[in-house]
Amino acid sequence: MNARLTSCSRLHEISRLFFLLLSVSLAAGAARGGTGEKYVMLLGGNWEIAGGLPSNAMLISLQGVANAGEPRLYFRYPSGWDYNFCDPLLAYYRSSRGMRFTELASAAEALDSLARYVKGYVVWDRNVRTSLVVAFTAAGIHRAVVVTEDLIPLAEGHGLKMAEDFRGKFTGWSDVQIYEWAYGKYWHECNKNFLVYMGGESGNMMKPGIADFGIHHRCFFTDASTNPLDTLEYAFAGRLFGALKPLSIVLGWHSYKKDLEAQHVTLASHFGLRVEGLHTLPNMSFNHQIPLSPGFRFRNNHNVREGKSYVPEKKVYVACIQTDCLGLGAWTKPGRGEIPYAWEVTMNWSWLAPAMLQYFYDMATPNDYFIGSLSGPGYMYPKAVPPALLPSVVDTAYALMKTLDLNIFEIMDHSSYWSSRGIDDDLSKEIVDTYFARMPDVLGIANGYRPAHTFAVYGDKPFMSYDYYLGEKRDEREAAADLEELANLNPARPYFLLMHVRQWSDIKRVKRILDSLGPAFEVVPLDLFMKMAGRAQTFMTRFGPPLK
Amino acid sequence: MSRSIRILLPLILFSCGLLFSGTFFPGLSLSGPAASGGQGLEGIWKFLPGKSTDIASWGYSLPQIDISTADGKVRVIHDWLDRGNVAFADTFEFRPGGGEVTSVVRSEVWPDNWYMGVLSSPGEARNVSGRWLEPEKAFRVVARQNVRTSQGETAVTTTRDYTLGPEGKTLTLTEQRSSRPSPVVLVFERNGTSPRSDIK
Repeated sequence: MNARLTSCSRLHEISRLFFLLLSVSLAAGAARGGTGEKYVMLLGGNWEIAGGLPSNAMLISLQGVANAGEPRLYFRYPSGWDYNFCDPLLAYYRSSRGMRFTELASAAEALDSLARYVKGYVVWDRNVRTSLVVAFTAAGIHRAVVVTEDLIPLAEGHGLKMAEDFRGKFTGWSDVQIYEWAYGKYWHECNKNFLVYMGGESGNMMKPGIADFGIHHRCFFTDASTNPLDTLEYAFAGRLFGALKPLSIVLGWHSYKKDLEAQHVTLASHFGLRVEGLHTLPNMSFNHQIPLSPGFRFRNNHNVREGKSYVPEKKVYVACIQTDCLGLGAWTKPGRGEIPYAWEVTMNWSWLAPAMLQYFYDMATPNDYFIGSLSGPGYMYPKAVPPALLPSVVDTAYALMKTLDLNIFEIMDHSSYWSSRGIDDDLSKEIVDTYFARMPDVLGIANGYRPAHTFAVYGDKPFMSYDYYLGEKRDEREAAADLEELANLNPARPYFLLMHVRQWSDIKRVKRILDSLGPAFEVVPLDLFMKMAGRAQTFMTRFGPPLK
Repeated sequence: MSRSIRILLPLILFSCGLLFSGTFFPGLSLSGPAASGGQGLEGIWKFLPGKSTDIASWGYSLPQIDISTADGKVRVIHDWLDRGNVAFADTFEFRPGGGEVTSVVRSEVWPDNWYMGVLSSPGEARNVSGRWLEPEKAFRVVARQNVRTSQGETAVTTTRDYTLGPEGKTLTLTEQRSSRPSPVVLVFERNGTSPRSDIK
C-alpha cells in the first residue's frame, strides 16, 4: 500500500512538473513576441473530401505550423461548428489583450502571409481518407502543410517543397495497416504527452479542428477503434495508449463510425489517460500561447459563506448543471445569468488555453457557478482507472480545482454503460471514499449523466447523483411533468433534485420549464444546494456494487 | 356414440363455433371480426411518434405493442425497439374482469421514462388486472408496483387504456400514472398480426 501511495505521489509530482514546464513555456511564448502580427480568417463551411475539406485541412495545418513560437493565425469557424465561442473569444482577445488582426480572404492570401514559417508540404490521397490522418502526423514532424494533388501548385507557388507523398501509397490498405506503418515511421519522433484522435464524423468528411494543436506539438494522429470487437484496431489503440505515461492527454474524439464514446474513454482510463475532447476544438495552437492577464486569478461565484448556517425549508430544491464542457452550447446563447446555473469547467484549459478559460471567468454573471469535471483531471471513468492510479488522478484533479477556485466536483462513469442498459452510472463505496478522502475541501460531488442512483453523505458533504436529465429535444410541458412527477415520487421535504442539462439546451428554455412549476419548487445555486443537502439528508444512502 | 349425442352433435358443434368466435363470451377473444379480417385489437401496433406525447424512452428505444389472446387471457407485450430489435419487453397478462395477476419484477429497467431517476424493483411483485371498457374495442389494464427513487421505494399505479380507432386501423394508449400530473397518450398503427397469438 505504501509503495502504491509513493508511486501515486511520484506520479502526481511528475504531473505537476509537467504543468509547470508547460506554464513556463507559455510565459516564454508570450515573452517571445506575442505582440507580433496576427491574422484572422473565416473558414468555409464545407468539410467534405470532395468539397472544402482539402482547403480547410491545408489552412488548419498552416495554422499549426505558423503558430510555432508565437500565436499568429486564428480562425473563425462557420456557424453550426460544435464550439460557438470563436467570434466572442476573438472579440475578447481584441478588447482585453489589444490584439490586432489582419483579415485573410483566401488560402492563397494565408500562404502569402505565412508560408515563410512552413518547411514543405505533405500530399494526402483523396481516395484514402485515412491518409489525411497520417498526413497530419507527418505535417507535425516535417513542419509542413497538408495538401491534395490539386493544391500542389499553390503550395509550390509559395516556394514549398514536397516532404511526403501519400498518393496511391495506401490504396487497398486497411486502417490498421496504415496506422501501423505510420507508427513505425513517426512514433519515435512524436510527442508522448499528447495523442490526437482525429475521429468524429466519418465517411466523406472530416472536421479536424484540433489538428493545428496536434501539428504544433508534433503529435501522433489516429482514429483507431477502441471497440474490443474490432480486434486489430483495438490492439493497436491499446498499444498507443500503453506507450503514453499515465495522465497524458488523449486529445480529439473517437470515430462516430468505429466505436463508442464509452469504449474510447474506458480504454483510455484503463491506462490512466485523460480524454480531452473534441476533435473540433478550434484554434488551440493559438489559444495555447495566450497567457492570463497579469495578476489574474480564477475566482468562482461562491454563494455559500463560511460559518453561515443554511437551513432548508420543506421545498423541492432544484439545481442545474450544464455538462459537456463550456463552449459547446448555451454559454453564448440567450438567458445566461437569469437563473442560478452550474457549468462544468474543462479544467485542463487552465494550462492548455489559459486566456480562453479566463474569458469564461471574466464573462460569468453572478448566477454562473463553475464546477470541476469530469471524474478526473480530464474526462475519465474511475471504475476503469486502475485502483493504484486513482489517488493520483484525484489529486491532480483536485490541484486543478484549487487553481480554478472550484469546490464542487462532478463524476461520470460509463465504463459498462452500453452493456448494462444505461443503469450503471453508479459508483462503489471505495471509489466515492477515495474522492472524498483526497478532496477534503469540496462542498459535495455530483454524479451521472442520465440519472444515476448513488447517494451518500460524508460528514456534511453530499454525494448526489442526477435525478433528472433534461434532453435538448424534450417537450417543455413533458419536462415540467417529469419534474412534478419526480417530486411526487420523492415525497419527503426537502427534496433535492439535481438536474443535468444537456449542453444544447439554452437557458431561456430551461427557465421556461422551471417557471412553469409550482411554488413548492425553488431553483438554487449548486453550492447552496449541496450545503443544504448535506445538512438535511432525505435521500437514501446507496452505492453501486463493489469493484470486481 | 349414443343416439342422443348423435342427434345433438350439430348443435354442439355450432355452439363451439360461436364460443371460439367470441360471440357468446367476447372477453375471451379480441379478434371478433379479426378472425377473418384482422381489424380487432389483436395484432402488432407500430408507434406513431408524430401523433403521440413526446416520450423519453429507455435508451431512445421506440415502443411497439403486441396484443394477443390465449386461454381466455389477454396478453399485452410492450416491446421497446432499438434499431428494429427488441431491447426490452414488458408483458402484462390478465383475464378480463378477473382478479389481479401477480408477477415478479425481474429487471431494474423502468422503461417508461429514461430521463427520470426511477428504477423498477427486481424481485418485487407487480399486480395487474384488466377489464373491457367496450367489448372488442377498448380495455383497461391497471398495474401496481413499487419503484425506486432517490428517497427510496414508493408505490405507483399505472392505468392504461387501449382503444381501437376508427376502422380498426389505429390504437390509442392513454397511460395515466398515479404520480404524474398529466397522461401520456401514445398512438399506434396496425403493423401485422401477432406471432404470439393463439387465435388467428
